[in-house]
Amino acid sequence: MKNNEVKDKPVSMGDLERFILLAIINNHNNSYGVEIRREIKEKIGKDVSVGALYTTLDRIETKGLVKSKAGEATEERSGRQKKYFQVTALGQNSLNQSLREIALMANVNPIAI
Amino acid sequence: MNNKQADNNIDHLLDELKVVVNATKFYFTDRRSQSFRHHINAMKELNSVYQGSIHRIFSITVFKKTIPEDVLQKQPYVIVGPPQLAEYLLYLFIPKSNRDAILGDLEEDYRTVYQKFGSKLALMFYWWQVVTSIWPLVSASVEKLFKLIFKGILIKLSISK
Repeated sequence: MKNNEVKDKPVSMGDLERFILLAIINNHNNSYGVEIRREIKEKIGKDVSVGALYTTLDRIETKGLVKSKAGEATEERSGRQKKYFQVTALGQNSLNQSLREIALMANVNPIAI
Repeated sequence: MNNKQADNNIDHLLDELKVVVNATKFYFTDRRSQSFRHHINAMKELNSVYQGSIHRIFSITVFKKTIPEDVLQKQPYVIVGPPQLAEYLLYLFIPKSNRDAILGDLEEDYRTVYQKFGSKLALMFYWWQVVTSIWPLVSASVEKLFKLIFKGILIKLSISK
C-alpha cells in the first residue's frame, strides 16, 4: 500500500514534458511523434526537433508518465513502424498537479484549468 | 508547310522524344553539363519538370505543348527519398528502440515538405532536423552513461564497506 502511494505520487516535470503530455491528451490520448510535433507547432509555434522529442518521451516513459506501443507501418514511412504514446494515470495526475501549481503562482483560479 | 502539317510534325517529334526520354537514362547527358544531367534525372521523376525540360533541350517554341493526361497518369509522381548520408548519421546516434519511430517520422515529414515546397527545401528540412536532433540524442546517451557509472561507484563503495 505504502509502495503504491509512493509510486503514484505526482512527478515534477519541465516545460517540454508538459507540452508533450498536453499534445498527446489533445489527440484522444493516442499520438505518435509526427502528431505530437504538429500539435505543439500549431498551438504554440515551437518547432521541436525529432531528437529532442524522443529523448523527452523516453524520459517521461521512464518516469511512468506515458506508455508506448508499436503502431502500423505505412508506405510513406518506408515500412517503418509508428510508436504511439498514451498518458498514464500517473501522467495525468502529475500534469494536473503541475498545471495547478502554475495557476496558483500566476494568480489564476486553478478550477479554470 | 501549312500549320496542320507543322502540327503533325511536332506531334511526331514529341512522341519520339518521349520514347527516347523514357527508354534511356543518359541519352542527352553525355554531351551536357553535370547540372543538366541532374536535370534529366529529375525530369524522369517529376512530370512538371519533364515538360519544362523539353523546352530547354530544343529551345524552340514548337514544343510548347502539354503532355497528354494519359501519359502523365502512366508516370506516377515519384518522390526522391531522404539523403542517405543524413539518415546514416542519425542511425548512428539513435537508440535501437526508437530507430524505426524517429526515421519513419522524419521521412513522413520530409515527404510532406517535398510535396508542398519541392526537393531543395525538403532536403534542407531533413538536414536541419538531423543537425538539431543529434545533440539531444548524444546528451541523453552521455547522461545515461554517467548515471550508470555513478550507480556503479555507489555499489562498489557499499560493497567495500
